[in-house]
Amino acid sequence: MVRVNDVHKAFQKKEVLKGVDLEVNKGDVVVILGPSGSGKTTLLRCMNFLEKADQGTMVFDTLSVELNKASKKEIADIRKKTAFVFQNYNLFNNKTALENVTEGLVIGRKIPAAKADKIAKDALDKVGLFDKYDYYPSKLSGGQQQRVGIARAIAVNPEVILFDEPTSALDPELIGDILGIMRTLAKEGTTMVVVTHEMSFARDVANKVIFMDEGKIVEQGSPKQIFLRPTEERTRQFLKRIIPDSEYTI
Amino acid sequence: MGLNLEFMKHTFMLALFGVPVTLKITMVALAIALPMGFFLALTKIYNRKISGAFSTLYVSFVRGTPMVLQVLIIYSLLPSVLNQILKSAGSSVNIFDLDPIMYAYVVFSLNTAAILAEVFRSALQTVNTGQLEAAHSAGLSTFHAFKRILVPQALVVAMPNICNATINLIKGSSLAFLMTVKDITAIAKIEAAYGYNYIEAYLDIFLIYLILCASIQLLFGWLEKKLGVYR
Repeated sequence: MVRVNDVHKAFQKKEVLKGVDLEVNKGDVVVILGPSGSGKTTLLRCMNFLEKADQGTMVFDTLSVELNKASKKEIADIRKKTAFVFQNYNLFNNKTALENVTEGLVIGRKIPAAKADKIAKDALDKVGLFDKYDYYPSKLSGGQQQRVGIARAIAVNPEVILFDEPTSALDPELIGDILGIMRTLAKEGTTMVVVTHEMSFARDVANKVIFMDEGKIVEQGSPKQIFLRPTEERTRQFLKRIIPDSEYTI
Repeated sequence: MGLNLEFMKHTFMLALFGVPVTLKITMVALAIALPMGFFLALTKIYNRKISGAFSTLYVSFVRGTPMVLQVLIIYSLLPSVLNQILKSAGSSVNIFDLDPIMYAYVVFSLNTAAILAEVFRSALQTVNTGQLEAAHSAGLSTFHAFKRILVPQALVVAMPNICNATINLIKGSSLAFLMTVKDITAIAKIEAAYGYNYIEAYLDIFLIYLILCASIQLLFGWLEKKLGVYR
């Protein structure tokens, strides 16, 4: 459904992505793991053009673009098919929870206000915020804000939702709530690409796990393959540090 | 001290006629300087090579020269320059009949625009870049992102400084009397010249400006609260 090939990206002189290929099929839940600086967030951001890749191609359904030469219209078309959930939520501070969700519908996709209102309320209900429609982000907890962020993403009914470390800024008690919502979405067949450090999610929910290090994909496969039978030494080292008491057989 | 209270009351009433003039200068200058300052700020934020350099030079120049001199130079030069242009275009319009308040509009607009450029630049930079990224991800164009998300938030932050600029404009417009504009200061000074009651006249001017500026501060306080209801 969406495929990126040979993605390169450098910031100043530092090469952060050194030729990455990624394929996502409908219904996939792809989890990208890796140490910080491995380029996983950059890869995600390149996919909806929050970063402009230096090189690479993307095929999204029938749309085929060069990542560094995409036109404004191509970028807009691709953004219509995707949604992004940020690590620090990035809610529109001057808009209520409901307005945060309707913004992308009414302005971004020209859906009439009444219809957008209904869609937005359904999305907020789904993430458990039925009583917070008119609350401003400043009055919401981190967990609630992230739930609005997810509602904002599901309301536009995208083909794929990109999650950039959605729980990294949350208190441990709230992480479970968010992962629960993501789990439900995955069960319902939502296509997701998730950058995260939450190994339980990767193990239990993902159908494809990708390990990145230093700008390249080191290894990818099913959760079973990656967690129980990693073939690369670097993967093993990473997993050992993150899950110190597991054992591996090659 | 022996103040002539009768004179003070009389002059106060007369000087009030200058208030509309002062307000006109203030409002026209703001109407021009606000959008102009905003665009100057954008050129610097987005690092536009040519227009950004122009903005920097412009702001530097306006802030680096005394306002009284800016008033005098515009008042000395502009009419002659306009006269030359009109004459060579074959027009028989007499530029020297032009209401001097027009020159006041020009000077104070240009001056305030420079100040507001920096006000907007700093205010826009307080808004998290994540707001723009979220807007783009939601499908908003950059124009809509600015209009609906970024500028409203920047505006609340800028309110205290815009209030500053407005008050400075009200007070600074008193220099318009140098251009024969009949503002508060001009009227009071003229009245004082008759009987040499300068102290009374200056106290009157003080009082009127104080009332004006206090009202402006109240207005901006209310605006800041209303626009910042989400905070």
